[in-house]
Amino acid sequence: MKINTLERCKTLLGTFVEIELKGAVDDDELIALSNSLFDEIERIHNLFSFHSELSEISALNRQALDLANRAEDDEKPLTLTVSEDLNKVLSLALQLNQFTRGLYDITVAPSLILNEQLPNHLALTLVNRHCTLSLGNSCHITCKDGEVTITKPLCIDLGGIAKGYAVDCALKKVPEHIFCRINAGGDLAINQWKNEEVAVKYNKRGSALRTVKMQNRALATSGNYLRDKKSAFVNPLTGKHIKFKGSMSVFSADVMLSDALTKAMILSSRAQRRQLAKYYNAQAIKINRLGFVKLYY
Amino acid sequence: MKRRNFIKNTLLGLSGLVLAPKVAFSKTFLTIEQAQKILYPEQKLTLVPITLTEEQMESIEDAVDIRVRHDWVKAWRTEDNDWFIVDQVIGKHENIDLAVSISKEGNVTGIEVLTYRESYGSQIMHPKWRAQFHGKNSSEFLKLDKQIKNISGATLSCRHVTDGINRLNETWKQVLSLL
Repeated sequence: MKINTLERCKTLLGTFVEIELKGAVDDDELIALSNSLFDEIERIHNLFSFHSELSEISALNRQALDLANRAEDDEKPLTLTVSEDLNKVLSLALQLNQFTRGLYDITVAPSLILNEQLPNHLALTLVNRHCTLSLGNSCHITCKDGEVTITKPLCIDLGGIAKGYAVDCALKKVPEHIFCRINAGGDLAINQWKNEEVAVKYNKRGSALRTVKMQNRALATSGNYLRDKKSAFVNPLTGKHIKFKGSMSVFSADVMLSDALTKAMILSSRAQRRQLAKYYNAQAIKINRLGFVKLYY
Repeated sequence: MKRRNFIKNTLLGLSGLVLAPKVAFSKTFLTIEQAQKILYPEQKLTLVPITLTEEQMESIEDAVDIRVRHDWVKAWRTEDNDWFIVDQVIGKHENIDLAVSISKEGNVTGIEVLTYRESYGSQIMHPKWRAQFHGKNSSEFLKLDKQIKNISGATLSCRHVTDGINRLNETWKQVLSLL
């Protein structure tokens, strides 16, 4: 049978999600499969979107911020049962937080809200701002077997890591005999990745591309070059926005892990980058704004 | 040694900046026919040519606070009075052709990105910049349609597309729903 190809792009997860499918099946089957993949990504989007007031993460944030209103002598923590998806993403984020000694932190959202990079529908006010803005809040969260315990008012944003998780979930639904490539705004995963080439963008210029071979199933890139205002990377230990020009890309087995590692790597020192890459079996490529490459593996 | 490396790297970097060809990235996902097949699989669509009057354009602009760039609407109607519209959105870093399906109740039922083009920002509007292409094949300067399948980079926001869809929804409300 003739090999058919389908390429589609939709706006989901706040960015452009491209799906390419190739296989010896008819067009209708490819369209049906692509629809089911987009549905899966939309499902994760609805769970983890910080921008939507109805998402699971917004509900969790509202309750976590409510801790600021409890009586002063009341030290009772907030315990919540969360969905299996949130459990998986939170567990990885907290594990990485411990491993990087606080450099990777999912509770920097208040600084991003105040910098107008995230919407303030949680009505973050001066009353609770002082407690949520104190940094290094990830250590006040524990997540085990679908139960989350929060001991201090805080605000979680899963941003890129949730985007990676959505791509991972969608890729799991693709049968083996079909080639699939999903690219959600730089978070890229290919099921038959061997011998595939990928171009990494490191600057706003159209020609700022470096071509590399795929090293693993997933690749994620983070960069600041599209931003005119303050950087989107906040060092949770100092609270400062980090100046970072160029891009950081990480190859690993899961897009979720790759995406989380790009942020951790940007904030880490060279030795820590090597350590991270070794521990998670990942390969990192840092390209500066002129196109010079540095590898960590 | 350090100084020699520094000079070498600087020269390499500068030459990269000067000699690099201008590559404008463009990608086509679906044709209009394919998008129609995906959004309305078993429906017959008829092209309805629509031209907006100046008042309509102004009133849409006022309602959604987004500029209406042209007075024509490329729209198709199904037998059930649902609509299929193809339009272009110009963002900060990209130009996008998109197809939107709107049901007869006015709900957006599907969005497909048809073509994605990296824009050259304000340069394109600048007459001097455009003048360099007069009488010449644009491919001499810009490698358009360079098909690079996999690109990984910083995440682009799709806010402009959302704005574009709001504009089309308003167009439906003010013009198409009355036809």
